[in-house]
Amino acid sequence: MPKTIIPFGPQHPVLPEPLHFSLTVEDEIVQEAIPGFGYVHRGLEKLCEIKDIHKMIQVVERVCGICSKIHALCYCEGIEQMMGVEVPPRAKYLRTIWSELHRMHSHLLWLGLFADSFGFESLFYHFWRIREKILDINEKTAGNRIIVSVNILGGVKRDLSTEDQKWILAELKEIENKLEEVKDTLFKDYTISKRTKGKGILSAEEALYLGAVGPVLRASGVAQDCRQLQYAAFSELDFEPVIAQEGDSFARMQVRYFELFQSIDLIRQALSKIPEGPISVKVKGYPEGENVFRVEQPRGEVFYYFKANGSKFLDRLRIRTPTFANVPALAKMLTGIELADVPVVILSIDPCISCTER
Amino acid sequence: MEYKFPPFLTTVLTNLLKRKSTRPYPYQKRAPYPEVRGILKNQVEKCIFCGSCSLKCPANCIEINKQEGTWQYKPYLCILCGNCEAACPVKCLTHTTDFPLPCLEKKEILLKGTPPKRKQDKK
Amino acid sequence: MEKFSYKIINLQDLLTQVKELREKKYRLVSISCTQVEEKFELLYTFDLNLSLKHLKIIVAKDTPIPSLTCIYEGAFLLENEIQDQFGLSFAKLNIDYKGQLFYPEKNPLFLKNNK
Repeated sequence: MPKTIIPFGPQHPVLPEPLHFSLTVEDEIVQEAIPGFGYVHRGLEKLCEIKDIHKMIQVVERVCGICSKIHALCYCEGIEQMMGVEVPPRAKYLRTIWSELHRMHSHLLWLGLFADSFGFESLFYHFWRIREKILDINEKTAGNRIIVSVNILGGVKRDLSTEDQKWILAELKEIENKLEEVKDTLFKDYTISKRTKGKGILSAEEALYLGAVGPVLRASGVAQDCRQLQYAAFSELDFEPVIAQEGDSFARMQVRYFELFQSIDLIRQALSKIPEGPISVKVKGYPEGENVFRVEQPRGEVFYYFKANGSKFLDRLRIRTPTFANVPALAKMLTGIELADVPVVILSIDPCISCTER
Repeated sequence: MEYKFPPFLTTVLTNLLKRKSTRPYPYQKRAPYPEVRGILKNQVEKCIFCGSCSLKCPANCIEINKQEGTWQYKPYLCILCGNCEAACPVKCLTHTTDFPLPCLEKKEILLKGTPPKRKQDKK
Repeated sequence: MEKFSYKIINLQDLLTQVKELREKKYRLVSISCTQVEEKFELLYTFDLNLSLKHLKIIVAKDTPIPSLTCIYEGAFLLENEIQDQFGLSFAKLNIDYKGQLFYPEKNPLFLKNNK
């Protein structure tokens, strides 16, 4: 059978964002997958030369539309570490709460898109209906629905009142019940297991060697979660990384689904432990030197490299986003599977292409 | 293959009997939360045209002319971040709860006020 | 969190040092490139059980840099991105986009004089 090259993407019904793969196919089996980028590149890293360090918060929030809060958290904590700013404990807890809310809405969005990738449209909308509640929490507490823009250097902009905290807990209870209802569907439905089990297997060794991060790594049985680095308030909260052993698309879904409950638990812990006090400190001066910082995003570990020269502009800001690290692993997963499974496997790493190209 | 009852079918059937979870949007609107950041409103009589809002704006959507006392705002460039509101020394800037609605042409908001007199003018 | 510190190594030692790290089961996290006047600093970051290790090399513009793809296959994206943004060249890349990963033509936008 001669080899055929089939272009996959940049426009494809399951892809939320433009990603291209040229698939070398032999007998419907993919032999080689080479990724192609360049459809949504914006050059945001270069903007650090004309926007000062305070305005850059709004720029890094726009690196990714879905996990914007966590990008800003990483940027702020990295700069604060360079400048030796001590953030008030209440601000640390508030940052944690908002970042976990972001993780939840990102995972719910992904679960919906994943259901869409194998044609389960009613489950798709069911997850997005649950997600709407979290967006409402964001809107009421932070002011905006997705790009919440609450972080500033030295703390946060908004506070949570006691009524808001009670309301969040009540909403979380409802979300938890709704999530429990879909558990049977996700884990016992015949179609879902048929489409996802054993598709796109990545072993633990391959995952580490190819540099996979986040749920992709954890689904292969490596218990590595950057929240264990104890940034923000995670040092005082109790959690264990969620892992699965199989390393296939089903395992990645399982990890993300259980991380939703982990996030609910973390928000509850944070709300029960949140101390009183100021929510921000004034930051004076500008950073100098080099630093790296990384935090755990819904899609995995994000890595920031800063180089500052003491002026109000950064010399260099380098953002290595989680999907960027997961694409080589994805190319590996795609080899040896059937062409019909390619959309499901691509979706299983939760690709965020505007992140990758920045 | 053995036939299995699809677990999601119960949810689908109950959804059929329940009320819709969406709203017929333009006819029925949910009241926005009071904390929401919508487009900016400037109480121009309080404004001192100091320019800190336009300096702090990441999207450069505010332009100020200190001599003529004009405050120009482009709602379609604004990213609703709230930096200007925090930077305003006289607290004349507030985010309303209205969102910029879709439109055919981009309109700018131009407000005219009286700039405060400079020290040498007072003498 | 640990303090940031790095080790400056020679260009010739890069592959042998990285090979050692690979045998110790380190994971490649990132390669960050910065332009310092006429030279380029490349910071290689590796991770083992959440502790980072940094190696730095300093190269001139025309020097071909040995590619890590023979040790870490997934490094090709990181290296191609540097080729795109700074116009550097890597020797023996397994998948070479020739400076066209993001841009339709060669245009090293991240160079200091290229505004």
